[in-house]
Amino acid sequence: MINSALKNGPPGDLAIWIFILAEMSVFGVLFAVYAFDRSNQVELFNLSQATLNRVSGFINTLILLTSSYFVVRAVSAIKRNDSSACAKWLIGGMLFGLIFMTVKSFEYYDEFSHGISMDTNDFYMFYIALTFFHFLHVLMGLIIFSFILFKVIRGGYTSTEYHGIETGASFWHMVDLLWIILFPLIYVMH
Amino acid sequence: MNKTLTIIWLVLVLLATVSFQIAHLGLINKTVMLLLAAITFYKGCLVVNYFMDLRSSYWVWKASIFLYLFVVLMVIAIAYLRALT
Amino acid sequence: MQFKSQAVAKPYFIAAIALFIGQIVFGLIMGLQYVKGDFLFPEIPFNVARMVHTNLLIVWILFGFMGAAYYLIPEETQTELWSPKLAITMFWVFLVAGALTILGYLLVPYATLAQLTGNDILATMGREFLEQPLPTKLGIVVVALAFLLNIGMTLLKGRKTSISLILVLGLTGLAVFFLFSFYNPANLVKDKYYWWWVVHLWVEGVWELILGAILAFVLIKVTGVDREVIEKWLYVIITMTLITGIIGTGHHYYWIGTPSYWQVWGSVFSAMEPIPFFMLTVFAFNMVNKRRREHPNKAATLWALGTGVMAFLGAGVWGFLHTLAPVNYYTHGTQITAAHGHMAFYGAYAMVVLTIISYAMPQLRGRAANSNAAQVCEMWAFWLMTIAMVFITLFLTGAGILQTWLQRIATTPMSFMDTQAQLSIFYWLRETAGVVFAVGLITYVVSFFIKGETPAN
Repeated sequence: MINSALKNGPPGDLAIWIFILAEMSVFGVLFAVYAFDRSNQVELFNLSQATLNRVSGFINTLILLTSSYFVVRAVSAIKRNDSSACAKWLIGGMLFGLIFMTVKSFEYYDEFSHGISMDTNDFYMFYIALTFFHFLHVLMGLIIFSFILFKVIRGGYTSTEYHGIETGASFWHMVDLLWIILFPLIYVMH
Repeated sequence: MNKTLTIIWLVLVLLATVSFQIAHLGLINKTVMLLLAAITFYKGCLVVNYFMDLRSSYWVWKASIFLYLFVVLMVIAIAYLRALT
Repeated sequence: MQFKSQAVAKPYFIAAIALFIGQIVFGLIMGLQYVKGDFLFPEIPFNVARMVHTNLLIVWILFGFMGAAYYLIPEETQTELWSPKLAITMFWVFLVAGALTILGYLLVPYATLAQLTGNDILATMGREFLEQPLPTKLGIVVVALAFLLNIGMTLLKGRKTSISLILVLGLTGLAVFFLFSFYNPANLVKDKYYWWWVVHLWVEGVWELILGAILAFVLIKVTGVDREVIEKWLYVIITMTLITGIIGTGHHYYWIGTPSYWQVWGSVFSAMEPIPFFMLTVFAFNMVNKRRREHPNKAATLWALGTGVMAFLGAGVWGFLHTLAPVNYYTHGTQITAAHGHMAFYGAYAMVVLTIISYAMPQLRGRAANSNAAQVCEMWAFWLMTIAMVFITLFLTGAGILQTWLQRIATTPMSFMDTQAQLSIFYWLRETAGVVFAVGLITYVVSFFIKGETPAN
């Protein structure tokens, strides 16, 4: 069974998938802890949640979905041996990732200047910690992509050798997947 | 292939917009919330199958992440229902 | 050995073992003091014996790490050490400074020692494991910097491998985090907050990088498995270490006056700290299973496998037992902590140093491996020490559970001292196990003097 698993492995390096599973586990536990903590302080969580900028969160959801789509198109392009198209789609994906971070930063700025911090209450503690933790993973993804982009531009990837691109892409889709859960959980669920 | 991916993307955007609008219009109640959890699960499945491209991999990988999505969303749903009481 | 300058590792290893012996002597003294409180009082009071025991532990392991680096870096980088002379000079500086410090603890009242050594200039004394006088701490910084310079320059001029890079990263982290021992805020909460930046980020952080790198090196040598395979495993292991261990620092922030969100974050992340240790064990056994050669040094292979298992049990399992905040609320600062601490330190760091010594010493003495008789003796030592440590841990765990119950959970809790009186059977049993451990250590030393060699095949 192990041999089958390895022969028909997920796209990208096996090591990144161990990383992906580990990160998802951590976030998964944190999501669960949030949900249960909320059930002990429903009123407080609902009231605090209402102060969040849901429109901003929704825009970020669309941005991240689109970014993931661009990355998928980039992988598709390199499978056709089209390095140039791959680079363009990848740049698009990274750009949207950057926009995500910008929008989130504006949200934070607004909240922090209203005196909200990790110490304000449990809801804000989770909100800040979870979204910031996610933010760092978006940043990590962009850093990984910059190395990959550099190699794509130099013609380092072909239709038979694109292992690195798939590795980065897999990580990015995890980041997207986490936000797909995070947004409704933190911004919407009440 | 690219056409499929574009359709998947548009479906994801549509589902996200629907979820947001439901919240924005203040239509949240217990049933709607559980529906949203189901939509989230479905969106996750689309990302796993098409974006992560796990359809062509050995079944264990796909199953692991589906199981993950199911368990996490189940736990969140249970906590949500607990909060309502 | 491939490079002449690897020979500088030998004095480091010898000093490590000598200090290890010293550590155990004081361990035995304290074990007896637990049940016979005035044993050796007032000449060696408990608190002095404790300082000597813990400080010797850290210093012998540091000697071991440095010896390990001086041995494996030239071989990994395929070039001679940048300055063997500097290595030997620093050896003597560290040894003399260490010896003077221990003598200071034993011969001079601590407050007087503080006065004599300039603690009023910058107060760094008085905290657990960081009891060293200011000059000693500065000496450690100097030795560490010289060591990093030496290793770094060697790395720069030679071949770069994952093992050497990770080892140097870990050692650099060790030096950097030691600097926090100089930061001693007046605010008690901050004092404790930053203390853990030395202790936790050492043993549950950068030291794990050192551990992984040394183990990977020994496994490549004794199994002959492809470097690529072993180095990939190493990267996964250290990634998991850092992901879980950095925010996992929060499991020391539950009750010291820091914000309560640490109870959530510390619990979630530290609960996962066993994962890299589990991977390390699977990795070690896997590599030995897939070996491509039958290396004559069976003892080193045993130590390597044993390190994985004992580190996972002591650091991983025993750590997990009391890491979650709701549990730790009751067990904090009890003999459960001592149980975990002993098996974790022995299993992870004592054993990895003994692993590298087991592999490298024969090489430094000009042979592929020791004679069968010597190896058998060494393996006896392995089993005696390891089984003894398991029993020490089990007895202290028993003591800890009873202590937690009597002192914190029972409907009419007992006082600390009354509780201690109830635990004496466990302490006697622990001391017995400690004596067995000491016998194991003596057996270990004896193994170095059994003659003969097994040639390479």
